[in-house]
Amino acid sequence: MDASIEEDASIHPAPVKDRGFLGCGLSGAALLAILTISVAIFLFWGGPLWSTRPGATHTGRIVASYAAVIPLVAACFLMMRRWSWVQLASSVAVVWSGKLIVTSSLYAYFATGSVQVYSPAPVVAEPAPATPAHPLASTGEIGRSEIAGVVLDHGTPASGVVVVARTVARTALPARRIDLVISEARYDHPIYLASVRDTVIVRNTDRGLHNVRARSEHRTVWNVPVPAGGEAKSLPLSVGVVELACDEHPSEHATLVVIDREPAAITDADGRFALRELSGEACDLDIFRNSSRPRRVHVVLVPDARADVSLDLAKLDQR
Amino acid sequence: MKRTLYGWVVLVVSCSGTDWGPAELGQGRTSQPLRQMQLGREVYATYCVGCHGEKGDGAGPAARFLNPKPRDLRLGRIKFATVASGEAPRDEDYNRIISHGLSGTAMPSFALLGDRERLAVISYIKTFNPGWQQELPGGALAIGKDPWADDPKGGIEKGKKLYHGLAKCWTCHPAYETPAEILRINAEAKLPAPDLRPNLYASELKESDWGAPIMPPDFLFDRMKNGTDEASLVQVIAAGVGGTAMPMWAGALDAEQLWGLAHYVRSLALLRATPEGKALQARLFAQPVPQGAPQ
Repeated sequence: MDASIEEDASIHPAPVKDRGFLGCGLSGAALLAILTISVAIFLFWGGPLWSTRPGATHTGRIVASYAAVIPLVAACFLMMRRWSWVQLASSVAVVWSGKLIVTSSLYAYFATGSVQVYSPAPVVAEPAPATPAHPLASTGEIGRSEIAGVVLDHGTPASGVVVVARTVARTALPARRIDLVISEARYDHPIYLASVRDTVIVRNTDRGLHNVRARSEHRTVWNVPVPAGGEAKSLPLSVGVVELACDEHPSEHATLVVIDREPAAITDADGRFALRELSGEACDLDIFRNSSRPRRVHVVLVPDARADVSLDLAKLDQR
Repeated sequence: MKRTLYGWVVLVVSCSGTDWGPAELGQGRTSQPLRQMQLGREVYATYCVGCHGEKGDGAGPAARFLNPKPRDLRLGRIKFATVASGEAPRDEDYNRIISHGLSGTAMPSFALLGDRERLAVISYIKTFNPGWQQELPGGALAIGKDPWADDPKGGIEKGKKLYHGLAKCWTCHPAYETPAEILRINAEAKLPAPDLRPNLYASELKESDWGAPIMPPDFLFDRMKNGTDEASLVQVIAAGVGGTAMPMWAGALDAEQLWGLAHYVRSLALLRATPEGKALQARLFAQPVPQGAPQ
């Protein structure tokens, strides 16, 4: 009977009672010791973690602290005279898991000066700046010079061209109503001039639906439908150049030049215009025709007198 | 005496912070907005920066994988707002999108954030717009109550006629009626016979301010980003979709018409991915579209 038991025991060895922490083969104390060594390597490899310079890399300490676990676990198994690849891998995984939790917390706590932390520019709640006054408005330098001229295109008078002097006039234009009329899927003028005080009304005389999509600096500032026979009123205007278009009718587009107190004019049927209350020795003229991109010319003024100019768009384009 | 002492201690401690002291007060600052901004920055850094980017330019690390792209917050404009076309959105508009997300996009609902966090991050994201201190938000458009609440079928019928008639929504979105029916609706409304486009039953690609053309939604196929309930739909129809071809219909249409369109669009959206919706599409695609009809 005893012999048979011994025989069975030799065939089926008794299972190892101590399977270690989570069955990995190593006791909790051994795993904790390895974890401590690994964490210590992480903290001190290449210098203490908390004294690293901003922007320093931590690759060395991370790799070393993880890699050190493998020989330590192997050494423990060799000392116990037991060897199992599965248990080696399990023990390493257990230590790595614990280490990941510990060191990630330490990393966030100690390495704030070196890790890549998202840090947008600090917010400073500054009071809103006052609207800057035009430099000429405060000096009282608004003058009495004038420009009278004619705009030509290949030698023929160009009507409906907007000319804006880049200076400031003493008197602001009164608020007006500017009517933009859509007829047969076209605006009645390719370019319009309005001041910020004006009210712009778009009227649709067609029997079909149109929309007015106003864009300034590549941004939609206004988008409204204008039903057949109806009209639409614009939002308050701001200085700039606004492109008007219909999403359905490519032929239907126009440019609206919005000014504040700049002297500006639209050329008449003979291409003539006049600008008054100009100051200084010279000023720039922006000339808009069929486009939001103006042609700019520099004009020398005659003090307190009229300067006559002739501007040929074709020649300006060649410059 | 003790209570007074405690009061002084609390006052001194509360004033000793770096974000609220005599210097800050002297410059007209108060602790409340600054602390709110700091909280907003933390919330943004936690939840938003991955898509919207550090500078709010919509170019976060995840943006390259997303379509539609995350909003460029520097523009100070969003697509779905309750203000007039072109005006700066209200805090409520940002709050609604943050709370509910945008269906069919990568923008999730951040209902997990408390009111304080949401308001803080709204304050913070507005600072990406260089003109944020000068631009006042627009007023909320007054749309009025739903006149079709007791008669939704009447609203759907009204909306169908507007969609294919006066408002001509099918010039960008697909049409959902046969050409003959569209012509009949226009004739009934004494509108000129419309020129039907060849791909009448598909959306038409339209330019946008958002860096790429945008395809208007097909209500039988696409998700409604701002929600499919009538209140959400009427808001989109009334205010338009910022930076896109969708105009602001408030002003051009009255409340009865706006709500009618909302009811009709909702009736279509409810057919999405249903056998009835697929049958409708199949029936429409079988229709020949006459060309060259007079405008």
